[in-house]
Amino acid sequence: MSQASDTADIIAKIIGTAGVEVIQRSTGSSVYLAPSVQRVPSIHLRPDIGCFVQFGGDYSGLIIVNFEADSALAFYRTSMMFMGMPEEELVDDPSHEEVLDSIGELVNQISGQVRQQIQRIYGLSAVNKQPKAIWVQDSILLSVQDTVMLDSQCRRLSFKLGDELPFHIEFFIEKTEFASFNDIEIPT
Amino acid sequence: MPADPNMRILIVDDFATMRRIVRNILKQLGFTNAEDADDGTTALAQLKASQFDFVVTDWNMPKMSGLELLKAIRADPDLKHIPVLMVTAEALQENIVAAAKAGVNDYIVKPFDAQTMKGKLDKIFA
Repeated sequence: MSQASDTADIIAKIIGTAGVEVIQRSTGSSVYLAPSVQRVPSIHLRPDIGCFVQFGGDYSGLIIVNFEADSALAFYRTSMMFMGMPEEELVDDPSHEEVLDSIGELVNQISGQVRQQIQRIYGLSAVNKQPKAIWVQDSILLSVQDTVMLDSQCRRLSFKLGDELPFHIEFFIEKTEFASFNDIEIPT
Repeated sequence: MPADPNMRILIVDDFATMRRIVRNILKQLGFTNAEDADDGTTALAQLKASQFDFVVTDWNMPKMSGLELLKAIRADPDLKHIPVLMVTAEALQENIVAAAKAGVNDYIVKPFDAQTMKGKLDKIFA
């Protein structure tokens, strides 16, 4: 296994942990994260709702969160009610703009926590643009402009909201290796 | 002095859902006089056009970020007295330091509930 793969796996664990923490904090519900990471050849927006956010700075990459309609609607309704919104004011259509917007805000918070963790651990910073959530009919392959996306840097994580509603995070990180100076010795 | 329940509040966030949540939380706490803006540029125009007593702004927004909005507010003699609560998706130390240097009154990390917001209001308007 290459060092770049090691870093992608570390990022996968950081993203997985952030996904669980943010969604549990947002919904008050349990979130299951499969205790393994899939190395995949590419990353896609997948039906029914896909949300992506690109980040760049000291390092760069792309995060996608894919929800099936039932999972997206459950997340939206649970999180809105958890933050005090009356149930009668919520929509029931998973393709409604408000559901897409709540998924976008979720990805914004996950991305923020991931960047925070990477800065805390490695002292490296990045910024992200506004996440975009869209209703997806068929899978859409995503790539980063001017970047060769090697499959060694693509990963997929599998989650369940409330033990039964699946959703996935896929991400790409540029070919890079995070190595702490603490672990590097200068020859004398 | 506790916060005036009739104070005019501007909620600034690029996500409509978050604006709605913040508005609802403020309503739960008795503050119903709130308007919103979807980015810093729009917010600044609203602040200059009429009087507001409190600003709740997101950090990460297109066009003009929350930090840029905060700096613009503090640089304007007519606006600089307005208390500003910064809402962030991450508690990055450098962001907190930058916001503190720019004159933020407090910050709150998403997601948050009415009780957390009440604590911030009590502190800002003590």
